[in-house]
Amino acid sequence: METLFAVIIGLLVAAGVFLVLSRVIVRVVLGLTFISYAANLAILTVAGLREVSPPLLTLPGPYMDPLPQALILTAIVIGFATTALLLTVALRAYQVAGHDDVEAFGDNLARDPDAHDGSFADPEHQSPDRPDVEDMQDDEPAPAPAGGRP
Amino acid sequence: MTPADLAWLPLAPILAPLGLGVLLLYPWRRPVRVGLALAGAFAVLLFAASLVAATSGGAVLVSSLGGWPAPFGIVMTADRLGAWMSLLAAVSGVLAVWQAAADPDPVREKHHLFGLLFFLFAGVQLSFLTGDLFNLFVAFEVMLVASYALAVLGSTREQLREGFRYIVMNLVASALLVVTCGLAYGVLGTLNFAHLAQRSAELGPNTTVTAVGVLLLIVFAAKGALFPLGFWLPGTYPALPPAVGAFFAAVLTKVGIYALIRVFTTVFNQDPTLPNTLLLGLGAVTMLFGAFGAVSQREWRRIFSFTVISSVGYLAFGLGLGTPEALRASVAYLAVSVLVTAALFAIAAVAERAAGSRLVAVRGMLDFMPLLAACFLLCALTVAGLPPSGGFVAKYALVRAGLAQGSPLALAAVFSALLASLILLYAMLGVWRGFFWGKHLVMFPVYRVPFALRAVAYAATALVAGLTLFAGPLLGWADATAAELSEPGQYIRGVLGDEPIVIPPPPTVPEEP
Repeated sequence: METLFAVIIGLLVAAGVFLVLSRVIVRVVLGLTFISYAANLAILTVAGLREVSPPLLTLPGPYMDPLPQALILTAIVIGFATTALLLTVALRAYQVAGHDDVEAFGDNLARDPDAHDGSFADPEHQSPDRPDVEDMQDDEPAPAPAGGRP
Repeated sequence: MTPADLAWLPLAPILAPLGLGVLLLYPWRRPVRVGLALAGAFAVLLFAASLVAATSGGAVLVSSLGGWPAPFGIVMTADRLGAWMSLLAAVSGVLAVWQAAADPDPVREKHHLFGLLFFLFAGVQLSFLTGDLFNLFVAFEVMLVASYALAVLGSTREQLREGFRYIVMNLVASALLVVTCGLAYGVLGTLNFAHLAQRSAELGPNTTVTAVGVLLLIVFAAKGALFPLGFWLPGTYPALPPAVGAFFAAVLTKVGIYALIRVFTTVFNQDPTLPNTLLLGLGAVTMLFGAFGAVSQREWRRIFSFTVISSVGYLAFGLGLGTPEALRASVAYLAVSVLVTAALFAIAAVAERAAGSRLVAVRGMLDFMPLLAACFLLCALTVAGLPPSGGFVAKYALVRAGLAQGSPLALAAVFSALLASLILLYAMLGVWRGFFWGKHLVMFPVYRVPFALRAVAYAATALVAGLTLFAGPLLGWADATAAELSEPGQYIRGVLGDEPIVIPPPPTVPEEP
């Protein structure tokens, strides 16, 4: 039984790592959920897989150790919250950058971060600290960066 | 007062920012919100200072949540190290809130900048004061979820790009931390730090326990930005708004370092060879990486982000030496590093605002802001570790501990520490030459910076200067902390009591309804 679980965990992690290394943002999110499933299964396996009663005192013993299940429950709740947040960020990135590809982000350490290269896919969802499209005059210079507001 | 009377105290710095964070979600008017935030930050500072006062005699404060005693329930503990970190985080929190208050940002504030900051404070305090490995994971998540939200709040293109990288990196590290918690429970049957320490001591040197320790090292190295896993840091911190970035830079990497110190001094100290070798090697590379990175950058906060990486390297070096003297130097350097980073980011915020540019190369600002130049000079000397600064005292102690330990790897790390200091000095002089020195060109405008914002930089620098003036008491405190960490029996007895832990047998007979 443990061997089967180990193989499943390995497969899940492999799939997760493969997806995280992908360039498409939604795939990265899916990969992270695969990895967290694998982590939860790993806790279950490490704590021991035995055919005993659930930890309810109305049933005859011996009982399962309830603590790993509590840990997994906590990890699931936290993973749910972080996945929701990550999906929101992915959606926002799509709205601002106009791509569903990390290439749209570019690499920044070698680049001028203030270069005005924004092409907006969704003009109705401007980011809050850029002016709206209709307010922007053609001859106006690029909006000042966050750190340099006069 | 006895430790039992003060059992509520370790909970206070966690619950106060949590409650205030909820309160700040209500759409108050700005003065009310700012007043609440400042009062809350000072309240956390007060609680953290009382924690330090209460633990200064070597007492370990324990609050058991729900009244369940130590190895069975979750406990909050405060020993000297935890209280010290809590105080440093609280000081940085006050500076960050002050800076955010002095620098109005209507859009981000409308979307709960202050509330998120307080959730971040709560998570940071929880990670410093928890006495349980799994609760440390929960604390990391509370802290990181708030930091994810702050990292992308405002959703500029740069913030989204860097925030996404930061989130993915930390989520992978968190998944590894969950697995490691499970493994630790599978091997040792407990998750309480003190109980883990007791059981691993009974087991003696054990390869499985060492493997769990090394997995934890990888996780905390990712959170603390040690060399190969710190690639997310120099892009993320400059993308943040200045006040938030200052708190992130000053405290968040130190949470990883705190966890490393806690795990490898209190908990898994039976077989220190492998973790110490790894920490020494990685630390030596990290400080050079940070120093070279700082030289390569041309923007204020990018340069300082790399100095943060470098300081993490020095701390890992001190921890990896594994002697009490080195631990003492690391604890002192922690204070130096937190305060000087907060000061440097506050200075960067003023300088960026005054020049209207994130670039350093403006020239000739010495005439316009001589006091800021003096502040920067003191902080630069502290970062480089030259006298007369607190950085010199701490780095001198580190180098001396390295020479005293004397293994070939330690000597190589000492060489790398000295070389990195020299390169950091060059990087800091580059900033000085680019921004303050030379003749100002008339074509660059100089903007007025509100006094409240400049005052943050001055106050933070005053704290850095205070480190020099009170280096004696600082090292005395660090000495006591290192002695306590080298003798984990005191922490274990403080948390678990003197009685041996008796695990009750599992009930086998069903109860009659």
